[in-house]
Order: sequence, then structure tokens, then C-alpha cells
Amino acid sequence: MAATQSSADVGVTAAPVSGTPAAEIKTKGPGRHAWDRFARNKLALGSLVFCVLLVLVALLAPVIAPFHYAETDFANKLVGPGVEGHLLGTDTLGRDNFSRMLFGLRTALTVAFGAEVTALLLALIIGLLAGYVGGRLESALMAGTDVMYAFPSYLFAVILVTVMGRSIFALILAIGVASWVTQARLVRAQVLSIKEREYVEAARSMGAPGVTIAVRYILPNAIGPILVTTSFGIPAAIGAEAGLALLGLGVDPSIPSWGTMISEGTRYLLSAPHMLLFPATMFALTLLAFTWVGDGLRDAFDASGDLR
Amino acid sequence: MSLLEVDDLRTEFRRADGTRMTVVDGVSFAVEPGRALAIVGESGSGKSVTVRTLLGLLPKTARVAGGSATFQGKDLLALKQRELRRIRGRDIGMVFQNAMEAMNPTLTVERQLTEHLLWHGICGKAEARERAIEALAGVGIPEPERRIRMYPFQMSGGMRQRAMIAMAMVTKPALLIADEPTTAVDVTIQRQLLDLLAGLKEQGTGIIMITHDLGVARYFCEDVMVMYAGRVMERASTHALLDAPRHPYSVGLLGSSIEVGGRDRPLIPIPGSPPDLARRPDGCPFHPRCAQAELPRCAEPQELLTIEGSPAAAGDAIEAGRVHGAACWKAASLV
Repeated sequence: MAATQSSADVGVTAAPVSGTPAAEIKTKGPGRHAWDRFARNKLALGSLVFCVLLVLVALLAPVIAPFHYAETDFANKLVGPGVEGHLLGTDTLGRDNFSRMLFGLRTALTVAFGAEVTALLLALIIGLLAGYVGGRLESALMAGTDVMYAFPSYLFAVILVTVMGRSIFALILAIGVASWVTQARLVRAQVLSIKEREYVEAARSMGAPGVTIAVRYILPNAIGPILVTTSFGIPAAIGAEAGLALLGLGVDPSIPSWGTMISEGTRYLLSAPHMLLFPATMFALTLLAFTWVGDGLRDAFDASGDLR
Repeated sequence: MSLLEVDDLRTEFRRADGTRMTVVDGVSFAVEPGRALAIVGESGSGKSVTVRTLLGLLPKTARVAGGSATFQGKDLLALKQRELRRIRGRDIGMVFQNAMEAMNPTLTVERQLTEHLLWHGICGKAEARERAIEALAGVGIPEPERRIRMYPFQMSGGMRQRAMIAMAMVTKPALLIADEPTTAVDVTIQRQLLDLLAGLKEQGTGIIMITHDLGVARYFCEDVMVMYAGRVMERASTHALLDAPRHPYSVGLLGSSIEVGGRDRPLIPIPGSPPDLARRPDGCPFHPRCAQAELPRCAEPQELLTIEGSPAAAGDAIEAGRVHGAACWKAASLV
């Protein structure tokens, strides 16, 4: 049996191992892989195109809209589609339905994205602090989160809008603050599981500062499920905005909102069905498209079924 | 002077019920520049906790209960986390068992090879990149300029393991801790990895290798320390310990492990299982499983003795692995 070899016998040279030929090496990051998986899902891709169109239309609403959303045409009240340039008809005050829907989309998307960004930021800060720092801070933060969780989110939104007034900003805050709780819990759970991974310990063993570990090692690896939840939060926030509008707690009635249009449309269902039909259809399609994008994202970030 | 001298190290864990459990109990050893020390023992023997204690990488439930660890004139155990952080990754490198898991999947190899150079302010970005490429070439990765742009999951397991060693090497640490670096890779790569580490050793790096592969210890390490239930059972030069083990536990460990090319002999398992560390047996922790045990003597505290039977007066020499020591009063009369 061989005795202990001295290091001199062992030598330094390691035979180079033939690997992938240079030409085949491509640098595709994890983000690129997720995109490839997303793009393979045609329904999600189509929905994404639709959503991007919606965003563009909302941005360009003042350019596209044939009328100002508040412009009244008393000669043509409650007329059907196509009358006198009113593409989708008019409402009880003779305001152009099409133009109002464009601006309603603007309201919906502003509130939804604003609310989700607010929720995401709150969730990231609180979840990261709780999960990464731990100890008493974690107990305090999670106790606060539990209190928020126990509080009905709609009631919270109603209270906030009542107190702050019916501005878009108030709605963003109301919906955002009401929906960060589940996300904060998710962030914390993700952080807790990733904190124990060997690469985090490896980073610590190399002398990484705490903030670097949290931001560069934990967050990017935790972000997938968090983004998925956020993407599902967008249709939920659009729904919440419309719901609050139905309750009469939406944005100021002078600003067009799909929720207000739908609730008004229900009153003229028999005499002027176009007033309900068009906003309701667009509302449904928009929610569906954002949900399908979320579905696609969920599959894209779940690499388990993927050969790497 | 030794590169690292660990004296009477004790690490405790607090359990959920509030009781304390000593996981590392009075461990002493030394690492010399240009030599490798193998720490061997079963799972749960305290090998990993020992090295993690040195680096301040213990979980929150653990604390250092005593001892000292002198590295380059400083006691690692007395340093503040911030001071320790400056030593970690710069003067002491660590190689992990599972390269698959030990690299951040969302950062390129370049980032992971250069970041700690930047954290420690060793050099600027451009030089860090050059050093990283050099280190990758040094571990035998072909085309390092291209591969440095890859993400870990785009590399094969063996390449990743070598990239990890490059990661630890790039700062040219004086001490390298390798936690079962060869366990997760196949034998051909094992050999390459050991050769790489041997190259470091030749340049004067001191190495602590945690392993339960006695073959790896025999091939690579000059000294061996056998741990059981958080205590040092035996410590000697590799061939002395592996060819003529003194402690009944070492004898059992050798008898129950396979060595390729070894003589044809039946494997003899050690009866029983390691003790619950919260209820460690008095005296020698191995005595309830030991065929040689004689009560009450074995239930009394055991000191590390030389094979001549003299108490650890030659402590330093034992710590340096030059003198054969075993924590068994019968060691001298056995074999």
C-alpha cells in the first residue's frame, strides 16, 4: 500500500480537460433562460404583446382619443356605436365612450402598477430585513405583518380612501398598502431558505459584507417567485380599483374609470347595452391577459422541468 | 512557528429547549505552512463546526465557549466580526464540498472570482480580472478568458469545482480550509483536485482538509487528526496513524473503511452509534462502543498521551503532528 506521498511526487500539473469547444460557449444569463422559457409559451407571449399594447395605448391616450373624455355632446346622448364619430357610442351626458375607455385604461394601469410597485417595495424591505437580520427585528416586523394580515384589506382601502380623498395617489397607496402583506411573507420565506444555501455561506467565508450578501446573493435568487406574485397582483389591483369604483370609492368621478363606467352601464343595460358591453369586455380581456402573463412567468421561473 | 495554533477550542450550541450542547470539546491542533492536516471522523463528530468556529461562520445558536486560535499572531476567536471578515477570503480561503451549490447561480464566474479581491481592496477591477483569468488557467480550465464570462450552471461539475478552488486561491491565502472537497466529484477529478491543492501546498499554503475518505488523507495529508463526538481521539503523522493506529476508535474507523488496492480483508463495522452530544458519556466518549473499554478507568477524563504513555507534556509536538498522540490510557499497551 502506498505510503503518504510527499507533495513533490504529486506535482502541480492538472491535465486540461477537454470541454465545450470555444465556438459553442454562449453566455446566457439566468434571466435570458427564463425569457427563453417564457417565449416558448405562446399564450403567455401573446398576452404579453397584448399587455404591452395596452400600456402603449394608455400612454398615448390623449393622442388616440377622438374626443376629450369630459367633452359632452348633448345632441347625441346614449347613442350606439358609430353615430357621429362616436366609435363606441356615448354615455348619458353624451361623452364619447371610446375616449373615456382609453382614459379609463390609463387610470386602471396607473393605479395597478403604482400599487404593485408600492407593495413590492414595502414587501422587499420588510421581508429582507425580517428574513436576513432575524432576531427581535424579525419578530417585531412579522408581528406587524400579521396584524395587517388579519385586517380585511378592502376595509383598509376603504378607510384610506375615505381619509385621503379620492385621488389616484390615494388609491395607489390604499391598494398597495393593502396587498404587500402576502408578498412580504413570501419574501421572508424565500430569504430564509436561500440564506441557508451553501453559496451564501461561501460568500461569507470570502468576507462578503452583509449588505452585499443580502442584495447580490440572496435577493437575485429569491426574486423569481416574488416577481410572479407581483405579476398576479396587477390584475388583482385593476380589479380592486374597479371594485372600489363600483362602491363609489374609486377615483374622482370626473376622471374616467372602468369601474365607474361598468357600474353606470348596468343601469342602462336594456336601453344602451353598449355602455356595459365594451368596458366590461375590455376589463375582462385585460385581467385575463395580465393573468396569463403571470402564468407564463411562473412557468418561466420554475426551472425544474428544464434541462440545463 | 505554526501558521495556525488552535488550543482547547470549545463550541456550544443552544438547543430549542434551552440546554447547551458542547459540539467541539477541547480541540487542539496546529497547521504548519506547506503542510496539510486531515481532520477525519464520522458525520457529527464536530469537524465542520471546528473550522467554522475558526472563521466565525457559526449559526446564531452557536457560541465559542473557550479556547484560542492563533493565526498570524492574532487570536481569531477574540476578533470582532468586522475584523474577522477582513481575514476571511483574504488570508484564509475556504473550499466547499459541493461546487454545484457553493457558487451563486445568478453571478458570472468572473464576478465570483473577483468580488472578494475588491471587497478586501487587494486590487482594482482590471487587475482582479487578470488575476481571475490567471487563477482559472492555474486550475487547468482551458480558455479562461471565455469561460470567465460563463454562469456556474454552464460549467461541468469538475470545472465548477476547480473554479471554486480558483475562487479561494485568487487572493493567495496563507491557510486554505477544504471541507470535503472531493466527496461530490468522481475519482478522476478527485485526483486532479488533490494535485491542484498539492501545488498550493508546495507554494507554502497550509491546508486543513476535512474528509471522511481515509484514502484522500493518506494520499494528500502529512498529518491526521481523528475526531469523535467533538473530541480529538488521535493525532499523528498520516502514515503513523493509518499504518499503526493507537486509539481503539481509529482502529475501528480504519477497520470499517474501504481502501482501493488495500489488502483483502472483511470490513468490520463499529458496533453502536455515536452518542447524543447532549448526553455525552463521561470520560472517553467512545467507551460505550469500545471493545477494549475497562471501567471505571475509561469513564474518567482522558488526556492526549504519547505512545510511550507519557502525558501530553510534548503537547506542542503533538499539535504539530510530529508526535503520535492518542486520547486513550490503554493506547500504549494496545497493538
